[in-house]
Amino acid sequence: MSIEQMFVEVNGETLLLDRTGAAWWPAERTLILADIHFEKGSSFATRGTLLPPYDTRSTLKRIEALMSAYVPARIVALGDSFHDSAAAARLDDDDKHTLARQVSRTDWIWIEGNHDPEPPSWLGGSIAAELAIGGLVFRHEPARQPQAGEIAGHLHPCATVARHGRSLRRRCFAGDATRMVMPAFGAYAGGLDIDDEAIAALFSADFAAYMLGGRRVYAVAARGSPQLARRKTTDDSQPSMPAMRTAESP
Amino acid sequence: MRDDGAYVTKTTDSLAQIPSYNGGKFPLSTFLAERVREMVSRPESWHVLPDPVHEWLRIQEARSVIPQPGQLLIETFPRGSREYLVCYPFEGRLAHQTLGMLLTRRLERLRMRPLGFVANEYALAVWALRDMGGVDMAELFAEDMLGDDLDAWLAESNLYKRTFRNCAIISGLIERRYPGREKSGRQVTFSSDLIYDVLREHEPDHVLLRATYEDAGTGLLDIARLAQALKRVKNRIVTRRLDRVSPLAVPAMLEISKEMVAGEAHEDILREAEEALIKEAMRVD
Repeated sequence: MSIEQMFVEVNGETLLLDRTGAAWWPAERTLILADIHFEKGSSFATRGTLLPPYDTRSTLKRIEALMSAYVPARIVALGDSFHDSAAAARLDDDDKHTLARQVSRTDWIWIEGNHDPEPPSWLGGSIAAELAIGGLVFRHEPARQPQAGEIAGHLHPCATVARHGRSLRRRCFAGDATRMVMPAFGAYAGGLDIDDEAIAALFSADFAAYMLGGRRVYAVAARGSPQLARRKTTDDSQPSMPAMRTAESP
Repeated sequence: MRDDGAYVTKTTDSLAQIPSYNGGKFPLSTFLAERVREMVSRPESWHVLPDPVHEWLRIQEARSVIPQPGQLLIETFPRGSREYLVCYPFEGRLAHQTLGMLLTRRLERLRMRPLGFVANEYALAVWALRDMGGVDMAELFAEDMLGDDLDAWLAESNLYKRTFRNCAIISGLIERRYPGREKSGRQVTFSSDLIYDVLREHEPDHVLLRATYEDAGTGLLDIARLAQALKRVKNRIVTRRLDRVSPLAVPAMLEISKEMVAGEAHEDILREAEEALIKEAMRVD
């Protein structure tokens, strides 16, 4: 296990987990981003919850930084890239321009999500319900049955560790040797604790939480581990899954 | 307590209960602070104090030292898995809180991995992952700490984030959640920390941020008084390395409203959790 760079093996393919929540697949020069939720801020605004409308800009900035660092040949956006079906139309002109340029620079693939069953085609890139490359299958919502090589999003996993009287909650990758659920990439995305059945039930035995730290990614045992603090109540920053569903699928 | 009213019932209990609440913490005035320092420093005046206080001061004298007026006592000791530094400026909570922000900033730079601090009326306790006994205290408490580049540190602090949360609630940006009143199905609460970070990045001059800085600057920090105190104790710092907590330190250790430090210690905590996994994986049995 390399310490400064977190490489993991999923179904025989090697992925590098970036501390921003993106995954890099060196063999295919592919960058994977899950649950970008563009324009979540403005979506809330239409329902009366006013939030600073900079979440898209902040997310685009992080994508730009990743593209400069990895120079990907392909980017897979794992679904829920847009917070709702009208989100792309609400993009600020500057942001639209930035995104269109980013899309045109690589082979960009929009995977369909439950928030964006029909990603906008006019932004460029191609659209797919799911995508299989090498040993991996990219889809938005993880299948309930065992799926070798599945890389999915949708669940926004988060993990909590407690030590020295402190507890830290961070977004994380959740994975075992066969499949992986990626953390949400969007600036305003909430999260779900990995001991929730929706996540834990996906993995057969031992799985790890790869927590996003300030400087790198940290691997922590996710099941039956004393390292991981159990937290049944979610705090307000991280709406629980049922609440997210009610709110986000009007 | 409900809103701003307290509901009270009569009791037949013969023992009186003394209610206490966080809002009752007003800063010690400079005059009172001086008298307290004076009184504590002179054993011959202790007889006016209640017996238990008297006893605690005697044990403090035996186990550590009683600071003289004008002196600043600093004690360091381990407790549990953490290292503590407790100092006794007797300058009131706001000045101590300010000192806490500044000291943790310096300790972070010295790679002591500070985790948090707590201030009360007469003391400040800081805890860290590393032993702070070897730190040059004269250097650490030097007056020039007020000139440190503090803005970024303060902006990252939980103190500011909490203040921002209050401003955001007042402005109606987010809703306060009350215990016992569960959120309705459609309502989604939003992390004020996420909003705070995004606003700082894109609109640093936003009115809510300005309100936050102003609130924190006046209601939570007291830089002027801290400056006086640092000047007073210059060259008059007394340090003690103890093997365990001293009597004077106990009240500070029991204080509520601790401030957490968001620094490198977070990375250490994540790393330790990771090491536990590696150890488990490498165990051959």
